[in-house]
Amino acid sequence: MRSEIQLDSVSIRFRMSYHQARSSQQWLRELSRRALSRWRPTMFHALSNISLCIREGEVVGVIGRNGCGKTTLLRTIAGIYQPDTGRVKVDGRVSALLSLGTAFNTLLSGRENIILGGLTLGLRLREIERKSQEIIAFAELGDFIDVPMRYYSSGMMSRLSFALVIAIEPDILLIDETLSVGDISFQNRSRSAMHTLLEQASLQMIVSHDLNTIRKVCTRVIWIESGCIAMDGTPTEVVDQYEECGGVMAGSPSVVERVHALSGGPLFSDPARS
Amino acid sequence: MAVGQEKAAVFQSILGNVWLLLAPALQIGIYFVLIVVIFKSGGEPRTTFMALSLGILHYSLLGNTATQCQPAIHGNASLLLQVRLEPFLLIWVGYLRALRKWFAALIVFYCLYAFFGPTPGVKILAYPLIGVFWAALCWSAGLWMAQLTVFVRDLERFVPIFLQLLMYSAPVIYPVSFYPDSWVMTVVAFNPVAAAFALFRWSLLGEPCPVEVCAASLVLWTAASLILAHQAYATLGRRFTKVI
Repeated sequence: MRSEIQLDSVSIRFRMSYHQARSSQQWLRELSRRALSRWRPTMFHALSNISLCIREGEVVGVIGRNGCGKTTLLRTIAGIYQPDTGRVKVDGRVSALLSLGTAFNTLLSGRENIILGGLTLGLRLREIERKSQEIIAFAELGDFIDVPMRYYSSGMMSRLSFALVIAIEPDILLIDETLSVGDISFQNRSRSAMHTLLEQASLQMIVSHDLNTIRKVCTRVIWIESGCIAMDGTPTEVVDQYEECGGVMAGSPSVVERVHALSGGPLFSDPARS
Repeated sequence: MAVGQEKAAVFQSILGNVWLLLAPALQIGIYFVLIVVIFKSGGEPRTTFMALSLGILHYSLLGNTATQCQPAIHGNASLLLQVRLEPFLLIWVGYLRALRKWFAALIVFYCLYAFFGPTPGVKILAYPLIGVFWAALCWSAGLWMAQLTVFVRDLERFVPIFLQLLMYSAPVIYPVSFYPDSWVMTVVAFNPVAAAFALFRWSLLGEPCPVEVCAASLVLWTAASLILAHQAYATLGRRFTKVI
């Protein structure tokens, strides 16, 4: 089966969870507005009308400022978020490296967490058992593998998590800023393992602020700005343009400004302004 | 996943899984002392003890389901935002953990029933079926609680109080005969928990109850709750990750 990602006019919006009242009077007024059904939730558009098609063999880098919608895009492709409008079509086994160690239970041992994490990531028990020695060897945990994970350092936890993820052998790999974990020797090993993984996976999407990695690894780059695709092209042209703009599209409000505008007031006080 | 969570739950516990048997036994002890020793109520101590055991140990499934299922979605927010995982699976894991505790409690009950219970009649044949409907009703309750708590966190505070109210409004620690005669039909028709416990008492202890009404109420409420809970999941399920 050919791996492919296709997004047609995909929009993702979130209901702002906080209310806008800042005093008891305002709170009562808002409550009465809600009771009278005149209140409508404020929506935040994380992705607006995104259309793209990524085919087998492509290594796509996603760049943009913090809060512009990069992670939301990856989560939508991974199937974590369902689009409010539009359609997402993904062909192939997807593995998302969005964060390390989230599927682990720190009260269980590393060995038990390999099973738990593997099942959570979609591996079959037989598959996990077959690969467990390989995972343990790659994570270099030695005798610690049978110790509860609460005694692990963050580096040890990341190593096990990374070792587990690379054992999945996905068709489509989604990576979000997790390329450097552990100490220097492990970083070298993980980098080479990552390159092997990138070769194995027939389609990759990498979210990173590391523009050098993006230039080196990717065959195509998508620049996301305020939930929209600002530019889609070769790494050289997109990254050059991105750097030229200082990572900010002229006239586009920052995420803080967007949230500020939606909430009708400052999110947090700025001592410099007061 | 359920096994892993159970292992983690007994981490650094001295008694470990013994608590599965000890917790319900202690609960029965507390109610027994309260009702029989302090208030000198409930008739013959042996019968009261058996009735209390039946009520508390069977009701424990609903309490455990609430405890395990209610935080299943919002309590696993970080996991659900990093890995594509059907939230239904997490609720099911919570329910399996509740079922495990319930089965341990039932072992305690069956031992007590063998020693202190009345000689079982033919009515006992209905017991497994009542148990299945009770388990299904608890699953639907767990599914509702897990879903609604994602949107209304106040339920975390409200549900424990509601479960207590439900326990005292149903014949869990007292017999059906405690209700005024004119109330019985209304209570069992509109409260499926009352219907289930009236039937449990009827089948195991031989206490009289309006069997047909209780059975109809339990079956209809369970079916309706199950269908609606699964339909709600089909509708709301796609929104969970955006809300948590």
